[in-house]
Amino acid sequence: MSCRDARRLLGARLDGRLAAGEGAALEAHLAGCPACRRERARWEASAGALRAAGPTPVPPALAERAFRAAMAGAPARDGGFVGAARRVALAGALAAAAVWLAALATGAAPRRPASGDAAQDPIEVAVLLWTAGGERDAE
Amino acid sequence: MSREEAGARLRDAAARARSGRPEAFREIVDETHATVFRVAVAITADRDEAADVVQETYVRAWERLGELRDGAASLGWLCRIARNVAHDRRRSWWSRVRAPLGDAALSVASPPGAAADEALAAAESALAVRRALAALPEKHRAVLALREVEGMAYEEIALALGVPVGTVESRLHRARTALARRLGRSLDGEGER
Repeated sequence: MSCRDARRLLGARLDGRLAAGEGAALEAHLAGCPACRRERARWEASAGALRAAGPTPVPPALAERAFRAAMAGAPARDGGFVGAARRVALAGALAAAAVWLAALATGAAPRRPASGDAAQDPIEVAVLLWTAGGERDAE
Repeated sequence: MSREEAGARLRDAAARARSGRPEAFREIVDETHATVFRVAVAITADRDEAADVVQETYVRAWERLGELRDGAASLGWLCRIARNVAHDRRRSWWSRVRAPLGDAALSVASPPGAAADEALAAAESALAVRRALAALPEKHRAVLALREVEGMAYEEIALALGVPVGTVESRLHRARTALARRLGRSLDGEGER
């Protein structure tokens, strides 16, 4: 038996799928192969560690949340078109703020909007963009 | 409940849900969400992200219920949607900037009855194994997590991942080899025959 065949059988044994007669053949190989014995020890140790905790607990009320979301037609948090629109708004807001801060650092930006038009103030533009993204969520 | 009984119940619920009855869709959610969640955890390695994937999966499922041809196959259909949702979300800008593998997603339990020192050592060892599992490529991580952590049978894993049982077996083999290699890097190697 090759090491490759032995390791296939090691997996089958871990999963309770070893056919009759395969166990004895596997043991015969392991008796003379330190590398496969070490591999068996690692596989068994990792399987034991992973199995010890049991299945991942399902969050309470997940079924209720999923059902309500489906009935409302709402995408999950951060997902879907609405989430994408909001992220685009956030990215735009951050870019505008970064440009304004850079200009401020070099003395090129006015401390106040020169014309008083809110849309020229990058911070207010950022707030407007974010608000617009938030409003789309409610649609 | 046998697989046949579960399939018959899902077929009946899907038929009623397709005719626009929300309470029938709720039956499908109740029957399937735990498995869909475990598949999502196995793919994402993140419990919070997996919960979001589950939610979005049922949103899509309700919208596309007309595409479900055989209600008895609802679970496989939902798992396919969940895989697509998980991949779509990972491709999104937001997912890429999120921390993907926090230790909170990899919590471990100590064996009952173990002494404190042994329990701590076991927990540390289990955490190291789970970290190594989380670092595997998705197709290996998913199949190994569904088998070892969630305790699913080969046939259930095949259904959940949409692959033949033989592929489950071969991926499990490669995943176990890769995990052992990661965990055994500090040990000296011996030649194979």
